[in-house]
Amino acid sequence: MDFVCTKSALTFGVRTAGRALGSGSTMPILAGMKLEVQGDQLRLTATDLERAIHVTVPVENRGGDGAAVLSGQLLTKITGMLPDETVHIRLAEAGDKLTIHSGEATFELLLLPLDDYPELPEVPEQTVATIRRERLMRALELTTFAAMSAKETSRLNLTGVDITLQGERARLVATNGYRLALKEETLESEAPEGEFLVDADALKDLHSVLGGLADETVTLLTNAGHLFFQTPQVIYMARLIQEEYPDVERVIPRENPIGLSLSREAFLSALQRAEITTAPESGAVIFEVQDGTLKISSSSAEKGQTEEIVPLLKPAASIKISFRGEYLIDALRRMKSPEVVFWLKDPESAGLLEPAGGEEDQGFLYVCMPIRMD
Amino acid sequence: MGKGNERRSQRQRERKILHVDMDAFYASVEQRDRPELRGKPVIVGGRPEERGVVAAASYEARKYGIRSAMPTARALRLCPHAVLLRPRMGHYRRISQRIREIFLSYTPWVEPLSLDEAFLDVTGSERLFGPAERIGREIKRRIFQELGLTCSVGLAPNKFLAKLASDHQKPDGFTVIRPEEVEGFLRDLPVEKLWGVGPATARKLRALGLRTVGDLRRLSKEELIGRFGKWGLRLWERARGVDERPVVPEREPKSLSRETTFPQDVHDDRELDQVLLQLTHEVVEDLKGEGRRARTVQIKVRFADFTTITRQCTLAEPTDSPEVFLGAARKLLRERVERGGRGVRLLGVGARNLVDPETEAKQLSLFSLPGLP
Repeated sequence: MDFVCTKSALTFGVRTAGRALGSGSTMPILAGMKLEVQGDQLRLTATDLERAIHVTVPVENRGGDGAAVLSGQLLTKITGMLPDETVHIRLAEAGDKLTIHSGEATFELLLLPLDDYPELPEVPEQTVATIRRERLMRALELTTFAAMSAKETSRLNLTGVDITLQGERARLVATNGYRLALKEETLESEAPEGEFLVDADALKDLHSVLGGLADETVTLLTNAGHLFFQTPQVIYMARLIQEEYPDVERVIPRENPIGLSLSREAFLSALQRAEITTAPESGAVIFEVQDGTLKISSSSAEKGQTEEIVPLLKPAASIKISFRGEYLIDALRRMKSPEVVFWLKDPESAGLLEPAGGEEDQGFLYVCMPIRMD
Repeated sequence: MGKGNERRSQRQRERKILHVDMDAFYASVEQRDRPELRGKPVIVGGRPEERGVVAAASYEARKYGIRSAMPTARALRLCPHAVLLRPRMGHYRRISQRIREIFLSYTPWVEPLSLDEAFLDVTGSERLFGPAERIGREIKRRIFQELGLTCSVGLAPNKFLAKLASDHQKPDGFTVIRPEEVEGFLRDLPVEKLWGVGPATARKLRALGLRTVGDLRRLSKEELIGRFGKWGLRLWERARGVDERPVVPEREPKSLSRETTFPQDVHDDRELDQVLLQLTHEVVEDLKGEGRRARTVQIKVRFADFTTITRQCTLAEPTDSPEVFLGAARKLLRERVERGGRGVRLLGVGARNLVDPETEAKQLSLFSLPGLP
């Protein structure tokens, strides 16, 4: 292995793949990044066995194909500090060291055993769907936050985002059992029916990776156990969560009769103010609609209270209900629509937050269960 | 590994963990309160027309295949003559609180998982109350005698095994897994019984020819991690009965109390009552000052011979009312304290299990599934 590449290409590759590096505490080899040169391409791979990232960057091959594994942390540090735009990387004849040469600087780095590197599943042949990159990113941004934190391990299925493909539509859903985010997106072509449950944290990473790319579309591929997201430069593999996902359609209250029409900005900033004095345990913000006005308030024994009138854009029937303010803020600050409607029924039934017309958040809806005040 | 570590791991091997699981809790409470329901299939859950699900089913109802989290409509098809009751969560919560007080009288290390099950670490309680097995049996007996409810108890060296043990014999069971019995207990256990193995993982394991925990033990740590990622490591540990997770008690209950030591031992009931009144007012003033209410009223009495006792009772509703508080404290002093002619040296009144009116707030959940409130 002996090649020359640009510093910028190498840095991009190492940073992007580096997101999947394992901690090395269970299996030391997972802290390593694998470099493979084939023809005029360098493939960088990192994995924690939950997911894997492969990044391909162009190189000038000077001494044949080859592979090596070295500490991902070390490589990340070094690539960030290389003095010259041209980088020359060479495997020592004995095969035990990697030399990185740039400008007047030379690094000789120790390798990790190549044979220990786990064999990762091949990218399957069968394409499931193709989606525009910005659309996938938007769908990820509007759903991944709503999943249950992976620290809570007893409900493995709720730590995932449920991706359903049907016809030309993709539907992404995430919920922590108290609130639920759903986004529908259009695919580039008709897809076979399929459902995939993928770890939400892995998908947050995928969102960051996609943000650094220029590619127009992303191709989804699958084998039985993994979902692959492929662009010309990057392959992101995520292990599927092998659990049943709850039936979400039955908890979406599409018939709620009371619609609060609100300016999203005004609603969001009022909630952010009310959030300051919520009781820490419940985070409850109280909504009171009376005589056509909406009052948002909160109070806590330690801090005091907040109260604010938020203008309703259309008249609405009276109701008193309370929600965890943070849950609504989570959704509202990611939405882009100027106007939203918050559909309610009664103090113990779920509320439905939707964009009010417009293109910006089309296909997005958000369900939130209230807090019962005894 | 230093000597200290060795000693620590020795101690860990010898942990005594109880898992107490109430039998069909909500349904049993309803059957206890309404004798006409005893022996009948009872379902506690949401109404079928509201697409409700079963929160609990009595053992009579389970014979028809009715299970928790099943849609009520389906449950009623399986057993059309079952009695369907709406859950009375406040009532179950109060009973659960009383069960918790029984636990807390043996160990502060109580980790409630839900209203009807909890882990108790009684390792350190053995010196006070005798062997863990006796503690477990006494808790079981007291829950039955004081609350008229049965439970299943598991005793084992860790949480995972204790839960398996309580599940081993239900209802009204008591199962002990001793360290030397772990391997035999796990060997023939179906893989589904391992914590965290859902139906899908179980299918995958079976496809690999792994039906029992004994089968699973044949795979190396690396193979399991390779196949199941980070869950693989947990599977490997569980298959060997390893579980180092500690019992994590609830946040320490905040309490308020006032007490008075008398210059001379008091024998006169009226004088004691006068002091009780004074202390109660002080405690209630403190409570109000903090904007809190108390669920539990406690009194403390030290006799002339320095014997000290505490007595407590749980109120129907959290309170900051001086009348309610005093009523409860007087009742405790009159009915639950055996003076036996001894003079009283110290009298104390306490408010425990304090709640913020705001923390009474309850985040409702989207899915009525076990584990979510």
